[in-house]
Amino acid sequence: MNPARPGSPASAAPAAAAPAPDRATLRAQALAAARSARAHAAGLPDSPPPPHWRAGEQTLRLLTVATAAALAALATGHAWLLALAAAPAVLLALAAPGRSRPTRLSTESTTRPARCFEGEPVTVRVAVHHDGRIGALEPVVALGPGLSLDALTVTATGVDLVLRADSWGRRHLGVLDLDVPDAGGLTRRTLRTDLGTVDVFPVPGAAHLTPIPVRLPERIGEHTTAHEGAGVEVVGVRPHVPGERQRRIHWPSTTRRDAVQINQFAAERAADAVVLLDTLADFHDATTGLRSLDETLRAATGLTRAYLRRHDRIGLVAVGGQLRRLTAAGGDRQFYRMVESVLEVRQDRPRHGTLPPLPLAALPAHALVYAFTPLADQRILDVLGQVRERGNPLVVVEIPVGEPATHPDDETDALALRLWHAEREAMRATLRGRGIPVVRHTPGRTLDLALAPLLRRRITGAAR
Amino acid sequence: MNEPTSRPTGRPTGRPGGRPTHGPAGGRAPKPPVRRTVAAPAPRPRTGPSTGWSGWTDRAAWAPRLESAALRGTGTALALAAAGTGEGTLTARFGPIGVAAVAVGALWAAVPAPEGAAAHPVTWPARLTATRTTLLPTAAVLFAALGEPPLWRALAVTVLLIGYLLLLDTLGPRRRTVRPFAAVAAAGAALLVLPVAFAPTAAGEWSRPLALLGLAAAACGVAAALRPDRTPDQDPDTPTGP
Repeated sequence: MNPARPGSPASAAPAAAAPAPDRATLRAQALAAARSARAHAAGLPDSPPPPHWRAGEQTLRLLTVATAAALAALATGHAWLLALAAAPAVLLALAAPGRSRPTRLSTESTTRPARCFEGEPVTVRVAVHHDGRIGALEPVVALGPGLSLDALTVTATGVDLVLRADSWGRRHLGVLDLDVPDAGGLTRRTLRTDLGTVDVFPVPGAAHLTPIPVRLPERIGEHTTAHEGAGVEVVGVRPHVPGERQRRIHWPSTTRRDAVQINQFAAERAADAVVLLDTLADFHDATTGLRSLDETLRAATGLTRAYLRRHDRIGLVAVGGQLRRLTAAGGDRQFYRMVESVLEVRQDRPRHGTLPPLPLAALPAHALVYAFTPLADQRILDVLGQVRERGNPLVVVEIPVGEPATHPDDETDALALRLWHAEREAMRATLRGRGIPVVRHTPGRTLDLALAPLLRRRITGAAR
Repeated sequence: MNEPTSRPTGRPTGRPGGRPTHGPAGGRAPKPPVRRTVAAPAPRPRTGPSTGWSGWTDRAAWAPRLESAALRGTGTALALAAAGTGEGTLTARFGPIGVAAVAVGALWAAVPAPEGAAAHPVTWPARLTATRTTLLPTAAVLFAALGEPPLWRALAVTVLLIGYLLLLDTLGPRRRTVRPFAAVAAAGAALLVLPVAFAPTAAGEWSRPLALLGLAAAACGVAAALRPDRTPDQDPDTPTGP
């Protein structure tokens, strides 16, 4: 299976440096890959492998033939049939492992790296430790959900795997069942190794626009406000007041008016933003193969990076399963803190009934709240209502979930689809009626296209 | 679309407390959705001849077919030799139809199941498929026991059985290397028994119990050879994870 996926960097890189494996090695690796594909289709094993050495396929074959020949000789009285029993018996006896069979067997797995981004290769090395002689290892890999096997290399001392996670999350890599035969191949034993977990971070969506609310906190930043301050953007001139610095004199207007005029500069403030994630459900679009939860966090992390790059503070609230929140803060580490706080949302149990109220500390005063939601669950309207009641400016970023599949000739399906569209449009109309802007993000395209209309004016919050 | 600034990290790769450092530098560039097949098996190597003269001269392309043909040929010859001709044999009981059925069955059963036997076959057809390379030599032994073959046919069945078992170990999915010494010893043991069995000696009532004792002694010898000499002193749950 090495290279298993033509063109993949993980499989192509070793091929240039190492000599090409022989046909037997390729055959063994293809066999292991086929077994692994079957094991993956069957899911993670739920019963442990037998903890003892057991007879192999060859042993059972030789024993069966020898026993059948001996019994036939006894039953029929044909002594020559013992010749048919002698050959497999001798083959069995000569292949016996004797003292070379290991008594201590253990495995050790090493995963590198422990954290990665979506689509990056993760290398797992499983080494076998023993105190005897063993034959060629036969691995079977049962991968965890959301993972693919890029390369599988079997060596005399262990197995090298190259895995790839297609979407973010705290991923369980799966288990490896390693069949270890003795030197003669008569008996074998299966060692099960847990491959561990890896934190897969989402690749942030491309975004650099940072709309701001009307009211900004009194903190120096990079957003220009309407108030006079000590920024760098000139917003007007005014008469000179004694005590002001001469370098701020605006000479053209001073000459024109015959009186000293001073430049007026706008204040520059930092913004507070909060990303509100709707994790009530994860919808799978059969047309594009995308999942709404994947796109939700990719878009949210893209927006997070845009605000952090402008030295703003940003926090996070995730509603759906377990309520998760992160206080707004700045700096590069905040990006990773936010992602790590939601890596396990897929493992949350779905919450039924009403959602708990948002904690007060989750929403700083006048912080701009971005709600990333597929607008598929009515309960998110209650959460957005709570945000609005607190007076926070709010923007809803709709994550598309795709349309339900319908039969083109079925009138009932067509009617149901119309109702589905009408219900979603009603939710959008409800939000817009409350003065909440609703923008639609298209997966695969930059978030700036959705946020650009918000730059025309500053976003207002409701009066408390 | 890509952003001009670099991604917010500078930490070493894979450190337990660190951050991933292999992400794209400019954010997630817009791209069409990528669908990967989960745990896709490796693309199967070409087993047939490719187009042109290079395919006909490519040894690697023909090797699997030659191996399969060798197994099928040996297995079918073994089954047909065991079915035999003469009174009491399978051929005499079922005629040409029986011979044809034996040949067809041997052609199917002589080659191991593709991609190795299933790990845990559940249904009876799956079990039959998984163990067909065991069923073929066993059935050949039972076919041979039906009649009273002459020495030359017994010799042919013996040689073909040894050859098929050795070929299966060498060319089967696990590709074991059979030591020449083991092959010679197995053939020597069988060829040692064969002339003795056909020796013109009178068999009495004591012959069968004596043969049973001999078989029991041989079985004890094989069991003693297979018994592990060292006592495992480890916990069965020794396999460890990360």
